[in-house]
Amino acid sequence: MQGRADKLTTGQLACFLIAVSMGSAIIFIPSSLILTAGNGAWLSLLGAFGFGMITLLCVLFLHRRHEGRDMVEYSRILIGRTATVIIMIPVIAMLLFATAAIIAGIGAFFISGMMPETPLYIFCSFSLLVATLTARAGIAAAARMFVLLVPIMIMFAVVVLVIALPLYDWNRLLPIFDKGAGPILHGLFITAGFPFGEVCLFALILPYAGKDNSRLLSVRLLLAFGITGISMVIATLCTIAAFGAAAGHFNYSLYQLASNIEIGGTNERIEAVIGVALILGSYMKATGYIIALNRVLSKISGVKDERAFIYPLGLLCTLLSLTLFSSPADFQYLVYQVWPFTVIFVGCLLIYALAGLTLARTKPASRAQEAER
Amino acid sequence: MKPSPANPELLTEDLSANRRSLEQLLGKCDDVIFDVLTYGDNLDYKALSVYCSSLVAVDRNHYMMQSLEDLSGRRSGRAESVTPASVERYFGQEGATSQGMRIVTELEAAINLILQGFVVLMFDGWNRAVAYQAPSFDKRQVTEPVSEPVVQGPREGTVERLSTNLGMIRQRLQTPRLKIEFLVAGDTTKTTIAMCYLDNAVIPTVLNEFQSRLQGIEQYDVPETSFIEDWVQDSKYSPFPQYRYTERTDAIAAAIMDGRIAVLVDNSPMVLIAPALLTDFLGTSEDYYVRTVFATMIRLLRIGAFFIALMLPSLYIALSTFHPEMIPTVLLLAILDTREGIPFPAFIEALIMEISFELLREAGIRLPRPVGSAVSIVGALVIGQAAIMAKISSPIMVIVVALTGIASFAIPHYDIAIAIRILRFPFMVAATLLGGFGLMICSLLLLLHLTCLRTLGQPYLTSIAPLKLSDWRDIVVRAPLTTMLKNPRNRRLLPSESAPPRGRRGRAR
Amino acid sequence: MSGAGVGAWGRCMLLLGALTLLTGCWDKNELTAWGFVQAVAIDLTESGGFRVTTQIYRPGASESRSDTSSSGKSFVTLTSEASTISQAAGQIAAQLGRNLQWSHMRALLLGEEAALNRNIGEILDFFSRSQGLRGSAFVMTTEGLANRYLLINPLIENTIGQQLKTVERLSSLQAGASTALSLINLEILAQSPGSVTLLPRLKLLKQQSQQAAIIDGMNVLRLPPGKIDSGLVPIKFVDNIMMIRGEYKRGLITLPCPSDGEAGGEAADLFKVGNAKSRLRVVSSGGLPNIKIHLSLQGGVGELVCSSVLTKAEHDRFVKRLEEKVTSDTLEALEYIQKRKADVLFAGLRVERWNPRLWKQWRSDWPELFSKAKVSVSVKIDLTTTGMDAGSPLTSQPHP
Repeated sequence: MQGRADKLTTGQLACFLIAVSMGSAIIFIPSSLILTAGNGAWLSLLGAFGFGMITLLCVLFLHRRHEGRDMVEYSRILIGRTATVIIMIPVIAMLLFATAAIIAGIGAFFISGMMPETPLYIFCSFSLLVATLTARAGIAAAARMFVLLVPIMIMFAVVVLVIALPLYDWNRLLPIFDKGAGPILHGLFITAGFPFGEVCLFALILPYAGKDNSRLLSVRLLLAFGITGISMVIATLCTIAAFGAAAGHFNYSLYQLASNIEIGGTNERIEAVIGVALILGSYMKATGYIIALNRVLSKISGVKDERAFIYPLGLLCTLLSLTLFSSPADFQYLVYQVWPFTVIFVGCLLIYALAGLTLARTKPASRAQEAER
Repeated sequence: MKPSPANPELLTEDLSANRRSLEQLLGKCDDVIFDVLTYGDNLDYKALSVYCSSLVAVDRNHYMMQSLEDLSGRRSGRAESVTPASVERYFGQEGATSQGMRIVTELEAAINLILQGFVVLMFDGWNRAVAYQAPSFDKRQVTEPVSEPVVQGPREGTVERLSTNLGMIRQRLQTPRLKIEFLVAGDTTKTTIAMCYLDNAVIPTVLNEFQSRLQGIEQYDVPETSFIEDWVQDSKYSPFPQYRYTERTDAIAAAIMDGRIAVLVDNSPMVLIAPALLTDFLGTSEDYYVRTVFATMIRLLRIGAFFIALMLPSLYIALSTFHPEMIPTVLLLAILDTREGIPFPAFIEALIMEISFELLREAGIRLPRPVGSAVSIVGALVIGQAAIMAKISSPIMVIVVALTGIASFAIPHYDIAIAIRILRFPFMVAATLLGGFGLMICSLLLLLHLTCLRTLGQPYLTSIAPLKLSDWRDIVVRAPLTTMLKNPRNRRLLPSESAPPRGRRGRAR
Repeated sequence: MSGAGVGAWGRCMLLLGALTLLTGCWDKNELTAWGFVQAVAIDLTESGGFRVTTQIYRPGASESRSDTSSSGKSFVTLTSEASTISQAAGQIAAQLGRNLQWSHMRALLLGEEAALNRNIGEILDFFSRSQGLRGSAFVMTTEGLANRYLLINPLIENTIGQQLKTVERLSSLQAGASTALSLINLEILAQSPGSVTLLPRLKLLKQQSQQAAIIDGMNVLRLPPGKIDSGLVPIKFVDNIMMIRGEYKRGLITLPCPSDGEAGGEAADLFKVGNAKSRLRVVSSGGLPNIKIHLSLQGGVGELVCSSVLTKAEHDRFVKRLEEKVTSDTLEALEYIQKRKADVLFAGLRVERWNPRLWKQWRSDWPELFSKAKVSVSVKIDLTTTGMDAGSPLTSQPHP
């Protein structure tokens, strides 16, 4: 099995990008964002989406210029071995935090809504069990699954948003600047971190792409990211239209939306599909991050068995998800204030720095070949 | 002296010596008959015919007479009497006209042929024997296969005789590209295994993989096709079958044209089709004999049946015990009315009803035909009604279990229906323990297992997991047959990637 | 497959099996362990706390079974008093012996006393935060004590909770007579300070030895204090307010016959409204708001007693009379709510949305400004059908 190259097709990578960037954000983000930015939340999202796009372009540029090499490898080329280890430490820490936060998010969702008596460790351990087993099956198997699960997740979200049409009052979107311009910028900051800025971590997964058709890959990845952006904006718009001023007050807005949907006059409680979409999105994101973590650690430590770190990482993330967050306020603080800062000023900055170094130091492949002749 | 492989014992010219060696090895095989005949002028030459009367259904003199008639056909020519020398000359040098004649030189070969249903003729003074294949007793007639009936379409099913089956396949695929390779397995059973494939349709890597896996089976006695399945498959403990069985010759022919390999074993009507993907289990051959729209509807119904059979009881348990807010109010109140007074929790109630249903189903299979159907229907009704009146179960649970059972019957292939019946129970347990969350986790684990499962190197969920929407024209819907004729379907199997070596766990990692 | 492989799988299975023992069925509750609350009535106690009365579904009573003798009511009503709703709910659960499941609640009734004196937000918070509650439960106030309404036998539905919801919805749809104010709408309004809305009020009616509840008016609910104003908005104004808010779906408009006509004084023609649209604009004229309302109704003739619409001239006359009637009714209703300084038309919201700068000036003093605002109403009516009969009364005098 090790000899078999774990290569993903462009379509599979595009689905992977949607899974990793959208993940559970479609359910968590709208309410927190609206709480901060008010009716102009969708403007924050558009700005953050632009920022994410720039980062994605840098990531693609790095991938193309270094001909599909791993981030660890090309960092070693650019800045040397010890510096690579030093810069990879915050990346590893970011990945661990992200995984723990995602899993803790699943747990928090279930405890607040559907199953309040069950302890948190049940949700965290079982979710991570499945994510770890998937990561261990290899990224090819994971990508095959994601190509199935991502459309299901998007379809559920879209169906809920469409069926909820009677609930929308588009006048609630006005006034746009009800909280002023400052909160909108604050919202931009938050969403530039989570979820759009996290595309900087996707650089760790890009090496699994095949060597050919990198143009098609770029197009498809940008398209996938566009789908993520559009879905988030639409979800936020619909949430504001449905709940108006109370949108920031409800914790899981898409879930609340689904539970208020009325079909034919009776309230059909189809919020289970949103619960399903949430689990799927978080599970896919966690799997992606564990795979990325495993790759970074195995490349740095140089072990031969490429999947040696997966089970220990799973255990570590389970324990982290149970201990990192001491209260809902703590979770809010860490995920919506510390994490965006980290993503923008550590993760994305790293990508930009590496891209700058690459631009300065290396020549594009065609020019290098010409120089050789 | 015992014959050894290096020095096989040869027949001698002495007829009685030959007879003695044969009788030594075939002693106590009372159905082997030694017939002595005399021929020639004054009937002074002796000949021996040895055959197995349980295999050969022929008048015992027939072949002897026929062979000698072959000889004396020259009577009109030179007036010659039949002598051993002429026998030797005729059969050994000048050939013969009768059917299936062979010349035998070794003792063991003679015994093998006798046990295969040949009539072996030995002549005094000649150190060779002549063997003819004699028609054997008629075995089972070709009828409609019991487990795969259709409303419209051919009703030809395979029988226990390998040659009849191969004949039916050859008749459907009249091309020299249909290759049939034989393999004889086992010392005691000497079963012939036939492997059929279409030369330009099968993918060479898949074929090589299959052949390499089949190696080594010759030393074992293989009584049935299922032994080959277990020998060759990727994952022994997965509930999902990786190869398909069928008794319908049209299905076999269609599979061969699709690039699959068909394995037939003598004495067994079950034909193994390798490899089988999950999507193959969702279709029947009848889908191609009815109109497009109807076939599409039925396929969609079957996919629904698949999910219902797998998840309906667990969904009911999860909703009623963990998420009562999701049941519509009026339905909930109706359920409440009937659940009041049931002493068991939902899981135990479901388990009781499911196990009763399984027992009924098994009993229905084992009972003799006239009694069987009556018992299952009456049994189901009576037990269901009695259970409700005794407050062991609520009507809604009976409905759920009945729907599940009916849905599992709607799944056309028996082996995948078994898989779903088994998997129902872990889902029920997961739903009992953790409700909707447990159900999701269980489904994800099942999906993971199916994605990693490989059959002959092919991903089991080909066309679903490596998603290829163009293949769905034959899986979820059934495109008009003109479309399928113009773009043949044998592109479904994945090319070029060589199958990974089978790991220790028998599954490609 | 080697023995080591089997051993590894065996250990895996054992561990997974042990894992399942972890789960302790915390959330698992058989359906029979829940008491499903159909309706809740909240009253004020003498000490200022809450008296919570819940109506809980009693299974097994609606179906006639040979073995059970009591086919009684299909619900059970339980009461308890405490200073907060959660405490009272806990006490009720203790009385019942089962946990309370709020997710199938249909109606929330507030006694008038409670609505006048306690902040509705306190009550709403419990229901909004609790898991699984349907946002579509209706909120209503009641004349007098609310718990009396839960003791009424339902006329057709299973429980009174369902009946009340149906009453609410039907009257909202058929007669335009009350707003269907669901819990979720109330929660949204609660989050936007300064909102004023109308809550339907129930009244007990005794009809031929059967008690029934009808909606006889609306209470004005102001949301920063969360209390209702005393004084009922009469039902006759509600129609027009609903029309202005765009929530009037179907209803009837009575057009009294001219007093000099042949018919008696009480006779009236009826116009059935099938569709109603409204447009509301607020502009500033001299620092004061100027509210311009345009209503456009579409419908057919319900009853013709003294008018006829056979010719175009008659048709125009009839429509003109209708429009005048609607205009005068609407102006009367507007005058009433302006006097009460209750902006239930959401005019302020409109200013906030479309003209935020203007709203900044007016926001602090809006109730006053609203009461002083200039209003103008224009109505357009489209008569599209006369029903199955021609456009003249059934018994009509021949035309002169």
